[in-house]
Amino acid sequence: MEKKKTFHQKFIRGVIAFAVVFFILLGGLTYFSAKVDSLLYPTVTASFSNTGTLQKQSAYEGYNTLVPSSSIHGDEVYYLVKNSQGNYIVASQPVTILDTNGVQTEIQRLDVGILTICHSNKDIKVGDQVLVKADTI
Amino acid sequence: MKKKLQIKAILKYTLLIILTVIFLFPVVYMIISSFMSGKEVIDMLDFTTGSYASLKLFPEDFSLEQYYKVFFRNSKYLSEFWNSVIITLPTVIGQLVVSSLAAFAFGKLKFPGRDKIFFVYMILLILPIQVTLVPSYFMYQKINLLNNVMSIILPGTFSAFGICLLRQSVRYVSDTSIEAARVDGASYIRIFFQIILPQIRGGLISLALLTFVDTWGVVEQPLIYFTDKAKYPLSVSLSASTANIDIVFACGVMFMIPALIIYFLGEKDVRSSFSRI
Repeated sequence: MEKKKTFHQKFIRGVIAFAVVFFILLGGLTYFSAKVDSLLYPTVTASFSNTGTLQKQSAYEGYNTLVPSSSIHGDEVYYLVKNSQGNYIVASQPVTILDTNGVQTEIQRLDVGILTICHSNKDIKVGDQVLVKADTI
Repeated sequence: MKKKLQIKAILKYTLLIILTVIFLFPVVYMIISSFMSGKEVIDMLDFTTGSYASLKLFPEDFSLEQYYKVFFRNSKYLSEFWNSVIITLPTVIGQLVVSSLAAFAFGKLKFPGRDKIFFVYMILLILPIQVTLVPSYFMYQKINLLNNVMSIILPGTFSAFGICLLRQSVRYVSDTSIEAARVDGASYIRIFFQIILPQIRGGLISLALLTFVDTWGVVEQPLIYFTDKAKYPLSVSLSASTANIDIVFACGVMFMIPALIIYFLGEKDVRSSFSRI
């Protein structure tokens, strides 16, 4: 009887210790989640695409889309989409490049504006989740 | 005769084992599946053809990917876990305070209309929560409690169930000890703290456990009363179809742990308390 009681007491002590560790761990992870996110996710600067042209006298009908040259890699523009959880995910889309001045690139007009990725502090690929510097949106 | 008893025992234990397996299967399956990789879970739960692609009992490769994602790559679920705590903890404490005081009054004090008031109060017990959701919504709107955790904590605190449960425990406390204390000049407050509370400890722990489980798994009220999704508890996200399916099992395990902790801590008292009801 005495032995059983001792086991129960040990068990309860173990459960309490586990509970304390569990809640401290989750509390710590939640408190430092922003810090952990910034360590794990690439941080990007982004800007919205504009409608316009680099031509002084436009040869095109209407205007095209202007995006930062740094968002163009090969013949693809890298931009951000929001998933259902509200996180930013890297996406890319093939574009037709019409002109560039080194800072901005004129591409064939896109139907909708996109949030292009100007710079990233880490290597990124399509499908990666990233953090966006708040002042760049 | 001995053989008959043995067959009876074998049948009894076989039935009990089968029932145990049936009841424990979802929990064990959730724990095992939490060690699958995200891709494996997505492939397994693919429902595009109208049935699950391939339900597996064991993970192909042991992986902690789901836990890694929950703890390090998706702080939303951690925040929601704490939202659940913020809703549940005050509800449990409030319910224990209110119910024990009310149970003492309904169980031991004599005042006019006591049983009638208790009867009216008990009517609340049989009303399903869905019946009062819409009237409550308008009420909270009037008193600016929408999108506020108090809209869940307050109804939980004043739930009739706790009073009913604790009243049964209070009735087991002998009248003579209360009368003796009164003769010695003890106030009702002192009687409550020094005679009633120590004797209904099991009932209090049972109520704490049941209130915890009830509030921890709350889904309808936050969906209706909260417009800010950041205030949703984890129970809402887990039951939503938009939940990240690749980490849903690990989230489930994280969600289950506090309930298990509470149960293990109060298991002994709960058993003795339920045997009284």
